[in-house]
Amino acid sequence: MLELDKYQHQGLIWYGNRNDKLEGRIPCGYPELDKVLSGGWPKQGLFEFKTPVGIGEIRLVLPYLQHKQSLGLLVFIGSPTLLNAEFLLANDIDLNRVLVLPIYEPEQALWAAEQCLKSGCCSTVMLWLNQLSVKQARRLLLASEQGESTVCLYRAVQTASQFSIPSTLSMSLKASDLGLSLKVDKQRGGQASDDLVINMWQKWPDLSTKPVCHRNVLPFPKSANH
Amino acid sequence: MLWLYIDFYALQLDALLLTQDAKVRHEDSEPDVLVLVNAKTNRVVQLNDVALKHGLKTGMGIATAVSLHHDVQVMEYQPERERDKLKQIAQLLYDYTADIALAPPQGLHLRIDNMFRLYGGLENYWQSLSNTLSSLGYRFRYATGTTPLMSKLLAQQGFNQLLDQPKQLKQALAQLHIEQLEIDQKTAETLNRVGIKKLQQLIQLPMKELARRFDIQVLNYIGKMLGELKHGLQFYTPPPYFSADLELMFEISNTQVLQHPLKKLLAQLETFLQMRNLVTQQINVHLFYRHQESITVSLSRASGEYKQEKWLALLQLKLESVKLTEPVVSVQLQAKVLQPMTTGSQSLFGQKQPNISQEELISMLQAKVGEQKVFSLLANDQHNPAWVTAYQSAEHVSSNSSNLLSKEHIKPRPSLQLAEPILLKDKVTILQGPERLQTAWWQQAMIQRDYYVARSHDGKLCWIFKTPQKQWFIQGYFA
Repeated sequence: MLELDKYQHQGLIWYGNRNDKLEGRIPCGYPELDKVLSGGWPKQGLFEFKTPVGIGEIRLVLPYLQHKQSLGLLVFIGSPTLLNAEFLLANDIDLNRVLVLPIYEPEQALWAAEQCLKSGCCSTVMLWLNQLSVKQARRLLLASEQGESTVCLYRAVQTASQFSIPSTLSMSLKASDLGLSLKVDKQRGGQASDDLVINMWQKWPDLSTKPVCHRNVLPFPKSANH
Repeated sequence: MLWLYIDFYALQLDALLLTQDAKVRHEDSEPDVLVLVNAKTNRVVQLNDVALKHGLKTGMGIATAVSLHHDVQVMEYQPERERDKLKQIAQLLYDYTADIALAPPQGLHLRIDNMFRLYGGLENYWQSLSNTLSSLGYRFRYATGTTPLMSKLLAQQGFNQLLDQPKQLKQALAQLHIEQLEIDQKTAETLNRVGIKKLQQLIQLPMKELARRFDIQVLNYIGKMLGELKHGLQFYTPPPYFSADLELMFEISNTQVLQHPLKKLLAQLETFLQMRNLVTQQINVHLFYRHQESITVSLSRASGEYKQEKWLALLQLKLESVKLTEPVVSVQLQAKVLQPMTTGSQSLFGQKQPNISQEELISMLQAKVGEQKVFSLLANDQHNPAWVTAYQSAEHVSSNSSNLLSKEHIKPRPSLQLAEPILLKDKVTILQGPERLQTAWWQQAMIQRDYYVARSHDGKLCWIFKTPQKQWFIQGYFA
């Protein structure tokens, strides 16, 4: 009995799908992703995205951000370029709940991210950072638990694939005509997945190619009041 | 009327010793013999206890002092420093007594008879006053008197008694020698020569006779001392802001060590603000070098604060980024803009209590990474994409009303936008467009661009545009 307690404490026992942490998931807005993530995004934690810049990595989590913004500030740390306020506004993100920190020194960015996560007044931190040690990732994870917040960590594919860091959820993203091609590498209380294509045609018709495309038929230009 | 004079006879030295106490002193080493010397007369004016033990006295020349002890630390006497210290003391005492007049560089006149009703007598009054005085840590002498000058004279002789009977006071005064008065030496000598050695004899002389033989200044002095002439004093009014400084015993070149003296100043600030029920949003810390110009470290909090530990936490963060080019010799703390204290209301049954408030978080971030790196966003109604998004100071977070766009006007806009458009070099597939954006001709940097959504060969979704010159640029990415 004591033995079991010990293993339980160390988190070495797998409970299958009967996991308390799976409750309170937040729908992703994409049914195919919901299925893989057993119902949606986790409420909090460290989400690692191994992705190139500019393929839809922010749009993927937009429904999540919209859901979380009522719980606290949304903080962008070290974004690769300037952020566009119009984009956020158009997607129902209240600019008054957004904080932007253009910090590009890894140490300071990590410090700021940790403070924000811990504070309890930030709901989500979007962090762009390539180099990250296991220890630093664990600190972020702990901070997110302490402040009941989420950090979305964006890393370039090349640097990220070297070793795995502790995270709640880790996925690799690739560009796709339909939207995004996604592969869950690991997730807490769940399994890794194969490549799956997220269809963004419904949500972002301007930015993706229509699923069924007849080459000989020219698409009508979209009317302005559509 | 009853006056009290407090004479801080070793103010500059005591202030120095107080800063020294904060340092870790070696237990076994003997404390230094410290003397302050007036640079003009070359005479010792202030000395510490250790120096007294070795037989040093005020009024000695430097040579005598050095011959009495082999290792005397000599420092220059600076009356203007004492003057600043005196103001700080007056500011503190102002919480206990109403009428304070400065007698720079070392003394304070206090009118005390009008305070007895509040305190219920001399004893109670003196108790609360002396508690404050001894907490300051400066050595002092005191005496009462029916006139300001009387109390001053008695205090400077180390009378150290509180009498409120005019008769007793006059008796004590009469015992003083002529040399102890603040009159010039020539007059004193003249008085001595005619056989007037004690003040008693001088008092007994009729004023008329005195006026014939001595100049008006002596007459004025005696008249003021005895209360026959009015002694005009200007009472102290505390400044409406906080300012305190500290001279460091040792030069400090490490910002970590610098925290300790600053902690003391912050404690003073806390008391100051708490007494007045005020908070401040910004404090300035001036660090003075010996040679170069001083540097200023500004700390600000979105929400006003008075607690020293809150300010200290910010200060620690800020000091990490401060580079000292030279050791610091003294520090000053100022808080100029003060506001009444208000408390925000919080939900009693809220689900989770944030560990710190939003304002606090922002202040903390600003202190550590710099104010130029903490922003909130503002959307402007502009056609030129470069002007749409404005980064503004983070204090505006959640203060202005929400400005959501109406849904009809939504055009594809990238989430990540380049500060400067870059030339498009690779082949792309156009998905959407064109959308013409043209700014007015009277605006600076007029633009006319046709925007498209395009997919690059590696799958990036770019926002590109074509200028009238048929040049193609990338403006942003649909991340």
